[in-house]
Amino acid sequence: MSKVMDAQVREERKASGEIEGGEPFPLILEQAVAALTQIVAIPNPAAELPSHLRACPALHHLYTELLTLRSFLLTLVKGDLSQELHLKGYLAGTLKALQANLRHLTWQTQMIAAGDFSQRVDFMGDFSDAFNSMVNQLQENRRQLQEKQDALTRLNEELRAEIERRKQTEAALRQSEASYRQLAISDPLTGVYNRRHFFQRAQEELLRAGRYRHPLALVIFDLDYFKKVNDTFGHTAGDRVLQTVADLVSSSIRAGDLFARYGGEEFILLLPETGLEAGVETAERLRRIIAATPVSHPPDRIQITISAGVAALPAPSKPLSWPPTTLDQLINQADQALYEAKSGGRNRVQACQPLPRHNLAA
Amino acid sequence: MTERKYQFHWGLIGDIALGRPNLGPTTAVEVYRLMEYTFRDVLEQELGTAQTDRLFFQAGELAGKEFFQRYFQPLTDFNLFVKSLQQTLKEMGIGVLRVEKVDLDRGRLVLTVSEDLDCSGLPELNYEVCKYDEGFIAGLLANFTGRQYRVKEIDCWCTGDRTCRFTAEPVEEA
Repeated sequence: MSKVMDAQVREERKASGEIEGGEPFPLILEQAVAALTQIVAIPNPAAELPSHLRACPALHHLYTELLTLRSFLLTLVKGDLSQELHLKGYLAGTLKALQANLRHLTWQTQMIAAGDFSQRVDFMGDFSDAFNSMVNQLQENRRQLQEKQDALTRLNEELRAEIERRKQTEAALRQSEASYRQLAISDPLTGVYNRRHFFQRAQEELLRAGRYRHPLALVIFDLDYFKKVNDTFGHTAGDRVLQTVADLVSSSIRAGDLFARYGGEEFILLLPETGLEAGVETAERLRRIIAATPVSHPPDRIQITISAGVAALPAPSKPLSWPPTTLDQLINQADQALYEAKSGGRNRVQACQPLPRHNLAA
Repeated sequence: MTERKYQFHWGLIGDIALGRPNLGPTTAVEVYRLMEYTFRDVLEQELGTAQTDRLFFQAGELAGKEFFQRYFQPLTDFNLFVKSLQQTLKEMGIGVLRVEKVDLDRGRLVLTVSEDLDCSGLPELNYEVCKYDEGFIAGLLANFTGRQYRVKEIDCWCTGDRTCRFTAEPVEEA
């Protein structure tokens, strides 16, 4: 290649008149030019000048600097901005300015990636316009995305609020339903079961007692001389007496016992798995508790007593199904016993005789 | 020195609108450089090169501190500070500041200033001349970070570069 170039350079110089009389430059000059041309023109120039050219320090220095510049330029082309160029001078300065621009562009891009969309490029010609358009578009896209996200967040919050409202409504409905259910089965004055609910539950207990061959007792009691309480202390005091008695009994019986207001000052109590004798004991215990607990009605204390009648179903010898009329018979028996208790002087408990088995069978 | 005659304060800049109703607040870069390089000449003759460089650095550092306190005092976010500084330097015709590298954890930076008021366009001198700029940047960074800064110009128009490049790093406390 160098011979071809040498000849080409000589012909061009002859043609331009640089070489008078067709005389060539000194060979060493042509060799120096050829060596420097290598750096500009070919991929792999020699790492060193030929030894006889190195004798010229300025040429050696220029050759080395050009190689360094070339190497630095190559790293820039590959996108490697980390190299440092320690040469001075115009060409080195220009390359370093390019490197500085690219480094700054990198930093700006990092800032944009971190959310700073105010970054703009104003030092790279057409690229600046394209870059800035891209940033504008990114910013716009991000704004739209943010708007959508905000709208979604708002919807989500509204949905949560709606769910919360519905939950509260549901809870209120449940509460209301429970409250109505309780009202439907309770006596409004005393809070114990009402007569209708008692009969419904009592029939179930009756069936259970027959199926499992358990005895079952029933107590009916009423407050002695209750009309006198109303007449003496007023109906409000009478109501309080009824509430007090209901509270005393409720807190003194088992969880499975069934207690209800039967009507007026009469109460009824069903005792599952309880025979006549135990039923009488329970009634007697309640009588004592009530008698020992006067109702406060300042400045008075109202002394209350009850009379109670007790009836019971014996435990069947084999599983059976008590007929529905059995409950009425049992109540009639207890009622009869209550009548006897009242006739006998009140403030007492009276048991009836167990029903004969032939009267009870289905 | 117990009493000072020339201690800097912004009042010394004066009411420019009042004083220069026709000529306005700007002047030729040539005049600025005339003052700077004649100062440099005389100071070097009186005090030597090293002492002159040191004084220019110190003056720049004071200017950086005052400049920060006047224009950037409330800023605490680095990126906002850089953006605001870039804009102010450009608007005032001081130079085009660009950031090459930032290591916030170590407080190290590489900055470039193009079209620098002090040096861009000067002949090649084979040495860096921007001592005032070094001090100016050190003063800005010291006041922004609360740490002393060492700033060195590694490339300069006067050494053939097209942009001035500065490295800045905090001075390790003993």
